[in-house]
Amino acid sequence: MIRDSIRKIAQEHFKPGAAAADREYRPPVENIKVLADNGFAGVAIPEEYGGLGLGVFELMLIMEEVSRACANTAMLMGGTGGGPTPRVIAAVGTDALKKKFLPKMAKGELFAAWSMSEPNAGSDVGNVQTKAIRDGNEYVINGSKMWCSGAQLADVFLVLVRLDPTPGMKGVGAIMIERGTPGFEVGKHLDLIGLHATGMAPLYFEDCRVPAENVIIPAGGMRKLFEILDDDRVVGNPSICLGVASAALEDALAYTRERKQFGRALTEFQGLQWKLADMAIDLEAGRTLLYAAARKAAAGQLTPMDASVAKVYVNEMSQRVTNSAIQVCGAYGLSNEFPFERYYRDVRGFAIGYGTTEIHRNSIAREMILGNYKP
Amino acid sequence: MKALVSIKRVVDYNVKVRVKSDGTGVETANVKMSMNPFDEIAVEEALRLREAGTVTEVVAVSCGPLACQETLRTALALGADRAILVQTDEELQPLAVSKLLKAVADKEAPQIFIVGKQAIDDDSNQTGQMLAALTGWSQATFASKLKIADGKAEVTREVDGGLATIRISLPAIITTDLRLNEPRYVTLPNIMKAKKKPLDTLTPEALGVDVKPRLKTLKVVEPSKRKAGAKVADAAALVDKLRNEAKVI
Ligand SMILES: Cc1cc2nc3c(=O)[nH]c(=O)nc-3n(C[C@H](O)[C@H](O)[C@H](O)COP(=O)(O)OP(=O)(O)OC[C@H]3O[C@@H](n4cnc5c(N)ncnc54)[C@H](O)[C@@H]3O)c2cc1C
Repeated sequence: MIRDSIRKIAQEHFKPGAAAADREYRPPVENIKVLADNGFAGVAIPEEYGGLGLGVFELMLIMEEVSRACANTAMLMGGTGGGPTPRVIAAVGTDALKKKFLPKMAKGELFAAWSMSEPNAGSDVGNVQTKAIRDGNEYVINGSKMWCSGAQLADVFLVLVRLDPTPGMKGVGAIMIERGTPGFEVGKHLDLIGLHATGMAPLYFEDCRVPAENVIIPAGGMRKLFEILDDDRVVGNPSICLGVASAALEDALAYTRERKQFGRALTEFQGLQWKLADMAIDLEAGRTLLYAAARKAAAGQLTPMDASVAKVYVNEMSQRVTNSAIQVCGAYGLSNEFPFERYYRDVRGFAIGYGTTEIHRNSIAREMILGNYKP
Repeated sequence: MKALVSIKRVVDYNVKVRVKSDGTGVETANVKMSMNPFDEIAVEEALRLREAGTVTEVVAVSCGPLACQETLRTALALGADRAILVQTDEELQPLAVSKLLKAVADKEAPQIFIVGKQAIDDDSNQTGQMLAALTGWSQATFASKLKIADGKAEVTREVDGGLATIRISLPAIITTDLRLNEPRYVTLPNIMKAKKKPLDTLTPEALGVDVKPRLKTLKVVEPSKRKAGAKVADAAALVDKLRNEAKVI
């Protein structure tokens, strides 16, 4: 029922505007209002703060269905009650931070961004150089951040900073910084291959003073954050890939049924049938892996191995499936009059964001070598 | 005032229906099923009456197999207060459904019973009318507008020549047309609440209703495929073909 309901909302409200949002680089914030009006904004926020406190599995389904209609909207959902920031606040935030941010996020009225990466800290998160130095009851922040999704619309940012001069991850923690704090500036839009309408930008901090109570993760507490993120690796990033890949196959099937060459529908050529079948096999394998991981996450049994295997497979599956969708549609597949090229562009970044597929292969290998995985 | 709404579980309107190979009906195994769209309109109208303060309780009723519970849960998630399933695996024809609904109406004593004008599977368009006959209540079919005041229902009906507005006394049977309203979405918080709402199960036997089919389906076939057309050179050739080949003029 959850899937039916969100699918109907997403197909009727989000899909028609998805191409324009991409073309005009305009984040479809009105869709967040639609989600909020129908109770889909505060999905992962605990009930006591006005959310629904739903589990990972339901959230994954919702993300998948939103992405089937518009990947940019799904990315924006990550900034409201469906994303990592509220989950981190709910898990480790002080009462004051929870009260301040969560109820508004649950209504889709407050938008949060997540800022980890820096020009010199990508996969190597431990190399965060943005500094936060204690001065009385405040921290003074200096440095810059890259690739922050939702930055142009966010009201509040969860920012990874070096709270302690200890090198590596031990000195890194996280602090909540509100838009408009003096010394904090959101930079120009960063134009990537796809996901044009997520308002991605760099962040700049120059002697930016933030109250000390905004520290949400103290130096050395990053392990906790990564545990919370493991769930998010299932819910956010690959669910969007799954939704877009499903849309690509669905639309490609409709197109090839209609398109006639040599006097027959393309679907009557066996060569093409097999290609479509391969796309379905790949898609369903990815769906099965991801659903299994989400079920484990919901039961609190997700291992790092499960999360990484599902993320890598679904990321790469979505590239193959959206690529094949272009191929079976020919030049129309490449034209921006059709959605196929957008699907292809939109999924590409997911194999880089939230841990590159190489970094996830590193964790898979580590788990194998440590003996935590029995084939 | 209590409102009853009837709900039928049908093959989803997006599904391309296929006739079973033995010609006894259409394929429903592994096919997506949903609430009959006219019944969604019925639920919506009842909810609007409740929101306007006219109705105090909305009860959804469905007749059919256990799986209809799922469709009733959707009605509850839309906002109905409780649900009743008259459970049976028998094939139910419109007369049987009307009798079952009458039996439920006798128990529940609603002031208004809103029914979809037809179900998109068999398109019978009979249940509401027969229910009115069986209960002896007034009826307004094909409603596109409904107002309730002073113990009467004022209903605008879509008829062949345009719109007819009638006033009828309560209790009444109303059947819904497409333009009566636009049903709301099922919201996530309401899906969660629906799980806790009461859903009671009755049986035709307990209601004392004989549901045995009175009609026999002889055969179900696919509509015949449209044959390819032909191009004609000019009007004279067209007239010639119509006269001598098709023999229609
Ligand atoms: C669509 C999108 C949205 C994003 N949104 C956000 C956001 O909201 N907030 C945020 O903070 N960041 C965000 N990012 C940034 C993302 O987290 C980083 O891009 C990612 O961590 C990789 O860092 P990098 O781009 O600097 O690549 P690098 O770390 O420089 O990697 C370059 C290449 O080297 C490989 N590599 C690096 N180290 C190893 C190793 N040890 N072994 C093997 N291979 C290695 C990588 O796999 C990759 O192929 C987003 C990125 C994308 C694409």
